[in-house]
Amino acid sequence: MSAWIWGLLIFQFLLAAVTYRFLYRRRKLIGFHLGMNIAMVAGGGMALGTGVLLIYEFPFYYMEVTVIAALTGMLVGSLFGGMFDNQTLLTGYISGLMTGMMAPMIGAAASYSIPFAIMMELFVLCSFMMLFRATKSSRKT
Amino acid sequence: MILFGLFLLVLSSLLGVYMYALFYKSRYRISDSLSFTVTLAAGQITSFVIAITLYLVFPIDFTVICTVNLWIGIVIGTQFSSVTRKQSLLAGFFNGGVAAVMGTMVGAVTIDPTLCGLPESTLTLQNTGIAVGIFGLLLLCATTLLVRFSLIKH
Repeated sequence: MSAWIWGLLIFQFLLAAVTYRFLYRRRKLIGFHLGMNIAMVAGGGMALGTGVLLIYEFPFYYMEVTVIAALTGMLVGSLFGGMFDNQTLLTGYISGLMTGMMAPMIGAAASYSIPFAIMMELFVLCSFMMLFRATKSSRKT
Repeated sequence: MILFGLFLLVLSSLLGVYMYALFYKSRYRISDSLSFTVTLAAGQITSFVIAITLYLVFPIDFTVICTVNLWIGIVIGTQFSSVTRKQSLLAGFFNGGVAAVMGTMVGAVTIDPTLCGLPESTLTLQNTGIAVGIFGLLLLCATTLLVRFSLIKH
């Protein structure tokens, strides 16, 4: 059970790092709207995955897990949004904060089942794949 | 309880379809940022209310219901966001899914408040379910009115 949790956590951080490198090379091609969407999806998805997985591993430390998930969401949202603009930074920041506050509650309500965590990671993976596709097909007007 | 839940489900689906028709009819004469805002508001609130009501109707297993709700929310968000341009597809996909998961969580905490460490509710199960269902429906009605106002005024 523990191996699944740490494996999924490492997987999602690797995914975020690969996406950041991919986006950083072509950040001049990305417009304002797509930048806002990218910041929202990256911050929210990383906060959601981190909160759900960490509350599975440490069920008795609710407050600490909430703080860590919110900080992760804020940091990742600010990093992804800071590539483009000031406003996209703000969007990613607030989206990561809100989702990080909510995520450990979802994990506690799911009664610690591993298939739910795998499905959540699948959802985050699908979001990042759509992000890749939207970036490849975008032309700045 | 089941009959009341199905009634709420039909009513909220009709409100969502009405919002979609209104948005589709005025898709050529609204600006980009207004369409983005309408996409987020309408997709999130519709998937949220439908997820609450589905958990109140079928309170069997959290994981199964959450999976079903997640895909329903993704479909609703994608539908709303693919009306105008393909650029906000990403935001509709992600926010519809997250709103559906949060709605399922609200339904689960309503049925059993001891999940989150809260004390037992003094009301019975029927009263709590009916109150939360009516609250969700009122929320959806208020959002529909606001979306209609902003789309017609523009």
